[in-house]
Amino acid sequence: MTNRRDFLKLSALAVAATSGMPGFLARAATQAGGPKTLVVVQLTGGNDGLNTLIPYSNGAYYAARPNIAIPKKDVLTVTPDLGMHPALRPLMKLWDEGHLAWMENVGYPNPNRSHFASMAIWHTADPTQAEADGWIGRIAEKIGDPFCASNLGAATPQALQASEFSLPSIDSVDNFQLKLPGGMNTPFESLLNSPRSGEAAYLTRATRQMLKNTARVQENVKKYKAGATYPDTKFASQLRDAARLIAAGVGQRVIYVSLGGFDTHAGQRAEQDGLLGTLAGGLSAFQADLERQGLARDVIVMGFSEFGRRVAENGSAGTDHGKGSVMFAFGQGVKGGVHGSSPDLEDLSEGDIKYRQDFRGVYAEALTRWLNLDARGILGGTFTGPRWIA
Amino acid sequence: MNARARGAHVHRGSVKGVGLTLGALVLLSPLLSPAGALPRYRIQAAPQLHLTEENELWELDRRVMPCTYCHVNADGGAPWNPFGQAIQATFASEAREGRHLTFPQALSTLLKADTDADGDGYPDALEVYAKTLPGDPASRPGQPLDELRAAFAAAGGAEQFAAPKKKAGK
Amino acid sequence: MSLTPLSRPLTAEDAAHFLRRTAFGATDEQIRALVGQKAQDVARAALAFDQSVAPGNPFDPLQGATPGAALQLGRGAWLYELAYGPHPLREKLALTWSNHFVIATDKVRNVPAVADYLNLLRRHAATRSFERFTLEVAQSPAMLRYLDNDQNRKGKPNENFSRELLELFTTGIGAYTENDVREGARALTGWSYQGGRGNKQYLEQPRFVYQPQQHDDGKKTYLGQSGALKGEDIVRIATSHPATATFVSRKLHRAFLADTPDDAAVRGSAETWTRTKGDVMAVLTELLASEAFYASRSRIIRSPIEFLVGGIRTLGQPKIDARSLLNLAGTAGRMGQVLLEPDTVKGWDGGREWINDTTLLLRMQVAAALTMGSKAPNLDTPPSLLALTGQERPAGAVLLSSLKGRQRTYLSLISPEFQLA
Repeated sequence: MTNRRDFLKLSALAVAATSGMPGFLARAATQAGGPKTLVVVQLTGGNDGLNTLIPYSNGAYYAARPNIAIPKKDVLTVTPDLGMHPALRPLMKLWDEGHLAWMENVGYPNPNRSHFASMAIWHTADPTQAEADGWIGRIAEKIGDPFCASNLGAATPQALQASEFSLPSIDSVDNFQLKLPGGMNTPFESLLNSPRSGEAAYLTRATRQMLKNTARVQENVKKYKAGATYPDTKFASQLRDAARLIAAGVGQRVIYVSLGGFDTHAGQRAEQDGLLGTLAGGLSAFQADLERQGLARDVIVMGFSEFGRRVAENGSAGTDHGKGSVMFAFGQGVKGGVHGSSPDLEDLSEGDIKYRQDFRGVYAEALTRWLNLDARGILGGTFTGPRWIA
Repeated sequence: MNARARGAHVHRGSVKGVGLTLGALVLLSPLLSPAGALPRYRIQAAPQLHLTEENELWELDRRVMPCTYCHVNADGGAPWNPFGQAIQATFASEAREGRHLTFPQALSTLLKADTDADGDGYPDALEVYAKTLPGDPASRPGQPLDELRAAFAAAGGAEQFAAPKKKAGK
Repeated sequence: MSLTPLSRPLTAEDAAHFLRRTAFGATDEQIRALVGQKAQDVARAALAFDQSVAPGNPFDPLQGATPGAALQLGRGAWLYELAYGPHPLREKLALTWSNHFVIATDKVRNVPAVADYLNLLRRHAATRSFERFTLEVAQSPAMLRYLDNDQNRKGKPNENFSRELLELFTTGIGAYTENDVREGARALTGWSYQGGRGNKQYLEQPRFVYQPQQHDDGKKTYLGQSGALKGEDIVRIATSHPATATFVSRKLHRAFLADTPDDAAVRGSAETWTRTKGDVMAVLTELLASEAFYASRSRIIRSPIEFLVGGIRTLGQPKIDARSLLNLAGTAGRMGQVLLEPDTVKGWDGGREWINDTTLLLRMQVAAALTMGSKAPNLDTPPSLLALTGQERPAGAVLLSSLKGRQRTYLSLISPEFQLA
């Protein structure tokens, strides 16, 4: 069949279910070969970095957040100055083993507090393009914001994709098959067997091909037995699907998963604490699963959010959009530790930290040293960052 | 070909399954997925306050819980009206006491407090019940206060606006 | 040579074919009503639509809580009209024109602008003057915004609309030079709109304005004609260019005859187009009664919208609640066709591009929902095979006839025959 795209690649890309796969990742996905897999986790809505990797020795942090700071006694100490949010406890094992990396102080040039510009920048990995392409208006519709603001809200978040891809989406691997109602397999088969010509013959061939392709994926996936118990969350089930695809050896090298709800303008602790628990629970099960399957050596996870939040809490026990945040990565191929210096909370710019690390340098490390790709071509420039790949 | 020719689209949502039993879910799947694509607080509050009734398209319809329920301007954003400010204050005062509330919990806590944000003589919970705007003194129930209070109590009082049990992050 | 009219009275399969192409499909009863009639009468009757709409449309985009919500309600409203409206051919034409004079709601986010645009497509669905149609589109705030002509000013030309006017809306590539694009843009300077700009004004009515101070009134040469040309002149010259007759006729053939049209038949329509000076009504009246039309069976792969609307109309327009309709519109999007939002200004490629593993699975899923789901209509008396497949003895007819109502309908809806028109 002409024009048929690489099915296996698509089926795996399609696991990027709840949000769009960033364009540069889609570019990377089609180029990557080899044995290594990169799983990218997006914390949608702007995760608050300061309450994720907490500067617990810093009085300025507690002064700025009288009601929502994480008390020193609760943090999971990782350095004399920094500690992880208590909900991230499931990831402590990885930290202790030296396989969890935190990238401090990450942001992008000309930071913009709007969701939309910011999201476009992260997605395209190109701060100039977000404006040039007029994407802000278009992306505005596609990303949620909890406020009743009229410049927001639409059907579903969409990918900012590289133009050459049209990625179908199916929300789980299990649904990627045809299950005919009872007793209809034989009639369907004989219906397809009737002789046809022209476009009808084309459609018959396409249907047969689809049945074959989906059956092949299901066959591979069936061989997988979960090596860990995943929590009962949608996020964890996405990760489980990712593990199934990796275990089934479908050849997908970049897998994208997202967890939404980090836009904590009000009542941040109640929201973010739970979300970080969901995050850590899912990720630790995923890692345990990979280890059990003997796949852990070839898979790393990299997590990011579009932007951070202000240093000071607002009047609703929440935080508003701010600049810069933390990124994380883990896996046996990751060099654990805190990479980069922490932001100076007493030297702010309009209430925001002054980021030090261009996010593209963090991406570049994964593309170059893990996936063996030409990061320059994918990111559209040369960027440097911490050596977080082991 | 054109400066604004752009990336292919992916349209996502809940594709629930294929076949006899699951096929029906194409028609039954949630209206908007993920729900976060529309203002989240409004989407949470409208059903909690029983303001969606008889409008099957309420998520999309600005006649249901307009922005001015909590905001000054019809298109939302800052500033907030007295009711919106009262919700913010509830978050802050509860957090000071070490109680970290979600949005639905804060809403419920405020309505149980029996306060009157806009000072029009009708407590917020009664205005919610009577479907007037609790943040706008010009919008107030037509019923006398005592009568309304009695009807409200008979209908279950502030308990009817309790936060749903469902856990966030699922 | 214009197209030869069909001489025989319509057979049952002819009637089914006509309704599949012009009404997204129909019930057995609607098909039978056309049997024995003259092709020209049938075509004329179908084209004699007015601007009346389906009663009881549950969607009102003006009530949208956000621009996105409003646009979603607009899509729901159009799907409702497509599925339940009294004039399916008008809607089919509007859908076709929305894929010709493309705008997209991710850029045009003003509700009245989008509504006006769609109504313009309906009003001119079978226009008597393609020139007039093009002029109104060119001056519609939706198009001014979408292709940036509102930014096209004297001394600072924006050529986006000028280019697409030639490349995609009238002559097609090959009939013009880069210089024509530049000169056209100069002539189109000063056409803009007022009102409805910005996200907060998504409900405000925008209006076309001509701004003389922004207009370049110098001499231009456009497609061989010179003078102090204005925007109206550009539209007139482009639409009356001989290449336009062929280029747009070919689009009509793609919509009504085949995914890959026959050149000879396209030439026939182009000749009528030229003779009538772009009278689309005349071209369509001839086309939809022609031998070529009736000979071209199963050569169009139904688009996602055509598939969904075809399913609903073939099943006799069962009532579907508003939320489910909105979900169906979303499902069409997942199958590659978001109403009023083609991927690029070129529009949907259509044909085999509609088909891949995921979209085929989704079509089967929709078929299951329509026939076997809890909200499925009663199918004790299922649609006839003629209504479902367009053929009285389709492939697998014996097998299909042996099945019960629901199963027969489901299997027919997922058959290659139903995917085609």
